Amino acid sequence: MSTAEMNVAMRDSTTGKRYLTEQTSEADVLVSAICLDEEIAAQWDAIIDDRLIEWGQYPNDFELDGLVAPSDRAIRKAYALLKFMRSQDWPLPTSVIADGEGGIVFENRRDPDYQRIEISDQGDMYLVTFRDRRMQGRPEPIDFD
Amino acid sequence: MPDAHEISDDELLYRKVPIGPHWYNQETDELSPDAFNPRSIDETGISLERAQSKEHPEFRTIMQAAQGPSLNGYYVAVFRVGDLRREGFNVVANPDIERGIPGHVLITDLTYENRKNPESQDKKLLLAQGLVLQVDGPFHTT
Repeated sequence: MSTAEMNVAMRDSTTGKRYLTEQTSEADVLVSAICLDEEIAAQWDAIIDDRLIEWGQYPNDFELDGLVAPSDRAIRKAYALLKFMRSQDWPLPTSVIADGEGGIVFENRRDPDYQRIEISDQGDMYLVTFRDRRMQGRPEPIDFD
Repeated sequence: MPDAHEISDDELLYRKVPIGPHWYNQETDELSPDAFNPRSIDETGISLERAQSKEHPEFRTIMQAAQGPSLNGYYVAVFRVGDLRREGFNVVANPDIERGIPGHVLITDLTYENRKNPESQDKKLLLAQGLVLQVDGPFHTT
Protein backbone atom coordinates (compact mmCIF):
# COMPACT_ATOMS: atom_id res chain seq x y z
CA MET A 1 0.00 0.00 0.00
CA SER A 2 1.60 3.20 -1.04
CA THR A 3 0.18 5.10 1.85
CA ALA A 4 2.58 7.97 1.21
CA GLU A 5 0.48 8.55 -1.88
CA MET A 6 -2.76 7.68 -0.23
CA ASN A 7 -4.17 11.06 -1.24
CA VAL A 8 -6.29 11.41 1.84
CA ALA A 9 -7.61 14.63 0.41
CA MET A 10 -11.31 14.64 1.20
CA ARG A 11 -12.29 15.79 4.65
CA ASP A 12 -15.73 15.29 6.14
CA SER A 13 -16.66 18.64 7.64
CA THR A 14 -18.80 17.12 10.36
CA THR A 15 -16.50 14.38 11.62
CA GLY A 16 -13.17 15.92 10.65
CA LYS A 17 -12.13 12.59 9.19
CA ARG A 18 -10.17 12.55 5.99
CA TYR A 19 -11.22 10.08 3.34
CA LEU A 20 -8.98 8.03 1.07
CA THR A 21 -9.42 8.93 -2.57
CA GLU A 22 -9.16 6.63 -5.56
CA GLN A 23 -6.34 8.58 -7.14
CA THR A 24 -3.28 6.51 -8.00
CA SER A 25 0.28 7.48 -8.73
CA GLU A 26 2.43 6.11 -11.52
CA ALA A 27 4.02 3.71 -9.06
CA ASP A 28 0.61 2.48 -7.98
CA VAL A 29 -0.36 1.77 -11.57
CA LEU A 30 2.76 -0.32 -12.04
CA VAL A 31 2.04 -2.33 -8.96
CA SER A 32 -1.59 -2.66 -10.00
CA ALA A 33 -0.44 -4.49 -13.10
CA ILE A 34 1.57 -6.86 -10.98
CA CYS A 35 -1.47 -7.39 -8.77
CA LEU A 36 -3.14 -9.16 -11.67
CA ASP A 37 -0.73 -11.97 -11.09
CA GLU A 38 -2.30 -14.98 -9.41
CA GLU A 39 0.39 -15.04 -6.79
CA ILE A 40 -0.54 -11.57 -5.64
CA ALA A 41 -4.21 -12.52 -5.58
CA ALA A 42 -3.28 -15.46 -3.38
CA GLN A 43 -1.43 -13.13 -1.04
CA TRP A 44 -4.54 -10.97 -0.59
CA ASP A 45 -6.50 -14.13 0.18
CA ALA A 46 -3.81 -15.28 2.60
CA ILE A 47 -4.17 -12.11 4.67
CA ILE A 48 -7.86 -12.88 5.06
CA ASP A 49 -7.47 -16.62 5.61
CA ASP A 50 -4.28 -16.79 7.66
CA ARG A 51 -4.69 -13.67 9.72
CA LEU A 52 -8.20 -12.22 9.99
CA ILE A 53 -10.04 -15.52 10.11
CA GLU A 54 -7.44 -17.17 12.31
CA TRP A 55 -7.41 -14.29 14.78
CA GLY A 56 -11.19 -14.40 14.94
CA GLN A 57 -11.25 -18.15 15.51
CA TYR A 58 -8.44 -18.46 18.05
CA PRO A 59 -8.46 -15.46 20.38
CA ASN A 60 -7.31 -17.68 23.23
CA ASP A 61 -3.73 -17.75 21.98
CA PHE A 62 -3.48 -14.00 22.58
CA GLU A 63 -4.94 -14.23 26.05
CA LEU A 64 -2.32 -16.79 27.07
CA ASP A 65 0.32 -14.10 26.58
CA GLY A 66 -1.64 -11.36 28.33
CA LEU A 67 -2.62 -9.82 24.99
CA VAL A 68 -6.03 -8.95 23.57
CA ALA A 69 -7.01 -10.63 20.30
CA PRO A 70 -8.34 -8.42 17.49
CA SER A 71 -11.97 -7.54 18.17
CA ASP A 72 -14.81 -8.44 15.81
CA ARG A 73 -15.12 -4.75 14.91
CA ALA A 74 -11.43 -4.47 14.08
CA ILE A 75 -11.55 -7.63 12.00
CA ARG A 76 -14.61 -6.43 10.07
CA LYS A 77 -12.98 -3.07 9.42
CA ALA A 78 -9.71 -4.68 8.33
CA TYR A 79 -11.63 -6.93 5.95
CA ALA A 80 -13.46 -3.94 4.47
CA LEU A 81 -10.17 -2.05 4.09
CA LEU A 82 -8.57 -5.02 2.35
CA LYS A 83 -11.51 -5.25 -0.04
CA PHE A 84 -11.25 -1.51 -0.74
CA MET A 85 -7.50 -1.66 -1.34
CA ARG A 86 -7.88 -4.66 -3.62
CA SER A 87 -10.69 -3.06 -5.59
CA GLN A 88 -8.49 0.00 -6.12
CA ASP A 89 -5.53 -2.15 -7.21
CA TRP A 90 -3.42 -0.83 -4.38
CA PRO A 91 -0.25 -2.74 -3.55
CA LEU A 92 -0.41 -5.24 -0.73
CA PRO A 93 0.47 -3.89 2.68
CA THR A 94 3.95 -5.10 3.59
CA SER A 95 2.45 -6.60 6.71
CA VAL A 96 -0.84 -6.95 8.56
CA ILE A 97 -0.40 -7.49 12.28
CA ALA A 98 -2.41 -7.53 15.50
CA ASP A 99 -1.54 -4.79 17.98
CA GLY A 100 -2.21 -6.92 21.06
CA GLU A 101 -4.86 -4.50 22.32
CA GLY A 102 -7.74 -5.65 20.16
CA GLY A 103 -6.70 -3.69 17.07
CA ILE A 104 -5.08 -4.43 13.71
CA VAL A 105 -2.28 -2.59 11.92
CA PHE A 106 -1.51 -2.37 8.21
CA GLU A 107 2.18 -1.59 7.72
CA ASN A 108 3.88 0.00 4.73
CA ARG A 109 7.67 -0.22 4.64
CA ARG A 110 8.12 0.34 0.91
CA ASP A 111 8.53 4.08 1.06
CA PRO A 112 11.30 5.96 2.88
CA ASP A 113 8.70 6.74 5.50
CA TYR A 114 7.32 3.98 7.67
CA GLN A 115 3.53 4.23 7.67
CA ARG A 116 0.81 2.44 9.51
CA ILE A 117 -2.95 2.33 9.24
CA GLU A 118 -4.02 1.50 12.76
CA ILE A 119 -7.50 0.06 13.30
CA SER A 120 -8.53 0.28 16.94
CA ASP A 121 -10.57 -2.34 18.78
CA GLN A 122 -13.57 -0.06 18.18
CA GLY A 123 -12.98 -0.10 14.42
CA ASP A 124 -11.67 3.47 14.13
CA MET A 125 -8.84 4.01 11.64
CA TYR A 126 -5.78 6.23 11.99
CA LEU A 127 -2.86 6.98 9.70
CA VAL A 128 0.48 7.18 11.50
CA THR A 129 3.65 8.25 9.70
CA PHE A 130 7.25 7.95 10.89
CA ARG A 131 10.14 9.73 9.19
CA ASP A 132 13.70 8.96 10.26
CA ARG A 133 12.12 6.84 13.00
CA ARG A 134 10.25 9.83 14.39
CA MET A 135 6.48 9.97 14.53
CA GLN A 136 5.16 12.86 12.44
CA GLY A 137 2.36 14.75 14.15
CA ARG A 138 -0.49 12.91 15.76
CA PRO A 139 -2.35 9.81 14.56
CA GLU A 140 -4.74 11.10 11.92
CA PRO A 141 -8.32 9.78 11.76
CA ILE A 142 -9.06 8.39 8.29
CA ASP A 143 -11.76 6.34 6.62
CA PHE A 144 -12.89 5.15 3.22
CA ASP A 145 -16.19 5.00 1.41
CA MET B 1 30.73 -14.29 40.10
CA PRO B 2 29.78 -10.72 39.08
CA ASP B 3 27.00 -8.93 40.91
CA ALA B 4 23.80 -10.09 39.24
CA HIS B 5 22.34 -6.61 39.53
CA GLU B 6 25.19 -5.01 37.62
CA ILE B 7 24.38 -5.34 33.97
CA SER B 8 27.40 -4.86 31.75
CA ASP B 9 27.23 -3.17 28.37
CA ASP B 10 28.34 -6.25 26.48
CA GLU B 11 25.57 -8.48 27.82
CA LEU B 12 22.87 -9.70 25.47
CA LEU B 13 19.17 -9.43 26.23
CA TYR B 14 16.28 -11.52 24.94
CA ARG B 15 12.81 -10.23 24.17
CA LYS B 16 10.21 -12.93 23.57
CA VAL B 17 8.01 -12.22 20.53
CA PRO B 18 4.81 -14.28 20.16
CA ILE B 19 4.23 -15.66 16.66
CA GLY B 20 0.44 -15.25 16.65
CA PRO B 21 0.24 -11.46 16.13
CA HIS B 22 2.76 -11.68 13.22
CA TRP B 23 5.10 -9.08 14.72
CA TYR B 24 8.10 -10.68 13.02
CA ASN B 25 8.25 -11.49 9.34
CA GLN B 26 10.85 -14.18 8.87
CA GLU B 27 10.88 -13.83 5.08
CA THR B 28 11.79 -10.15 5.14
CA ASP B 29 13.52 -10.16 8.54
CA GLU B 30 11.34 -7.24 9.63
CA LEU B 31 10.26 -6.71 13.21
CA SER B 32 7.28 -4.53 14.08
CA PRO B 33 7.40 -1.96 16.85
CA ASP B 34 4.27 -3.61 18.27
CA ALA B 35 6.58 -6.33 19.60
CA PHE B 36 7.41 -3.80 22.32
CA ASN B 37 3.89 -2.71 23.21
CA PRO B 38 3.59 -2.69 26.99
CA ARG B 39 0.69 -4.83 28.20
CA SER B 40 -1.69 -3.71 30.91
CA ILE B 41 0.45 -5.49 33.52
CA ASP B 42 3.61 -3.70 32.34
CA GLU B 43 3.23 -0.79 34.73
CA THR B 44 6.95 -0.28 35.37
CA GLY B 45 8.48 -1.37 32.07
CA ILE B 46 8.60 -4.05 29.42
CA SER B 47 10.24 -7.40 30.10
CA LEU B 48 13.46 -8.73 28.67
CA GLU B 49 15.84 -11.36 29.92
CA ARG B 50 19.62 -11.45 30.28
CA ALA B 51 21.35 -14.12 28.23
CA GLN B 52 23.21 -17.01 29.80
CA SER B 53 26.96 -16.52 29.48
CA LYS B 54 30.26 -17.67 30.96
CA GLU B 55 30.00 -14.82 33.46
CA HIS B 56 26.34 -15.55 34.20
CA PRO B 57 25.64 -19.28 33.93
CA GLU B 58 22.64 -18.78 36.21
CA PHE B 59 20.68 -17.04 33.47
CA ARG B 60 18.60 -18.87 30.89
CA THR B 61 19.51 -19.95 27.38
CA ILE B 62 17.66 -18.57 24.37
CA MET B 63 15.71 -21.83 24.11
CA GLN B 64 14.62 -21.52 27.72
CA ALA B 65 13.77 -17.85 27.27
CA ALA B 66 11.55 -18.77 24.33
CA GLN B 67 9.26 -21.00 26.38
CA GLY B 68 5.74 -19.77 27.05
CA PRO B 69 2.06 -20.66 27.04
CA SER B 70 1.33 -19.87 23.37
CA LEU B 71 0.67 -22.90 21.21
CA ASN B 72 2.00 -21.04 18.18
CA GLY B 73 5.38 -20.48 19.80
CA TYR B 74 7.76 -17.55 19.87
CA TYR B 75 10.62 -15.76 18.21
CA VAL B 76 13.31 -14.16 20.34
CA ALA B 77 14.70 -10.72 19.52
CA VAL B 78 18.28 -10.16 20.70
CA PHE B 79 19.74 -6.85 21.91
CA ARG B 80 23.04 -5.66 23.36
CA VAL B 81 22.76 -3.68 26.60
CA GLY B 82 25.34 -1.07 25.54
CA ASP B 83 23.39 -0.32 22.35
CA LEU B 84 20.25 0.32 24.37
CA ARG B 85 22.04 2.53 26.88
CA ARG B 86 23.70 4.60 24.16
CA GLU B 87 20.21 5.44 22.89
CA GLY B 88 19.12 6.45 26.37
CA PHE B 89 17.20 3.33 27.38
CA ASN B 90 17.13 2.50 31.06
CA VAL B 91 17.79 -1.21 31.68
CA VAL B 92 17.05 -2.31 35.24
CA ALA B 93 17.65 -5.73 36.81
CA ASN B 94 14.41 -7.24 38.09
CA PRO B 95 15.06 -10.88 38.99
CA ASP B 96 11.86 -12.92 38.98
CA ILE B 97 12.79 -15.88 41.13
CA GLU B 98 9.17 -16.99 41.51
CA ARG B 99 8.89 -17.60 37.77
CA GLY B 100 12.44 -18.96 37.52
CA ILE B 101 13.80 -15.99 35.57
CA PRO B 102 16.82 -14.73 37.51
CA GLY B 103 17.93 -12.62 34.55
CA HIS B 104 14.65 -10.76 34.21
CA VAL B 105 15.14 -7.06 33.40
CA LEU B 106 12.88 -4.13 32.64
CA ILE B 107 13.21 -1.38 30.09
CA THR B 108 11.55 1.24 32.24
CA ASP B 109 11.14 3.78 29.44
CA LEU B 110 8.13 1.93 28.04
CA THR B 111 5.14 1.47 30.34
CA TYR B 112 1.45 0.80 29.85
CA GLU B 113 0.66 4.34 30.89
CA ASN B 114 3.01 6.08 28.44
CA ARG B 115 2.61 3.58 25.60
CA LYS B 116 0.76 5.97 23.29
CA ASN B 117 3.09 8.94 23.75
CA PRO B 118 4.97 9.99 20.60
CA GLU B 119 8.26 9.41 22.45
CA SER B 120 7.22 5.86 23.27
CA GLN B 121 6.21 5.26 19.64
CA ASP B 122 9.65 6.45 18.52
CA LYS B 123 11.39 4.25 21.07
CA LYS B 124 9.47 1.15 19.98
CA LEU B 125 10.39 1.81 16.36
CA LEU B 126 14.04 2.34 17.31
CA LEU B 127 14.07 -1.01 19.11
CA ALA B 128 12.43 -2.78 16.17
CA GLN B 129 14.31 -1.20 13.29
CA GLY B 130 17.52 0.16 14.75
CA LEU B 131 18.72 -1.71 17.80
CA VAL B 132 17.70 -5.32 17.35
CA LEU B 133 20.75 -7.46 16.55
CA GLN B 134 18.86 -10.48 15.27
CA VAL B 135 15.64 -12.40 15.68
CA ASP B 136 15.96 -16.13 16.32
CA GLY B 137 13.37 -18.87 16.07
CA PRO B 138 10.67 -19.87 15.72
CA PHE B 139 10.76 -21.80 18.98
CA HIS B 140 7.95 -24.01 20.14
CA THR B 141 7.20 -24.81 23.74
CA THR B 142 8.50 -28.21 24.74
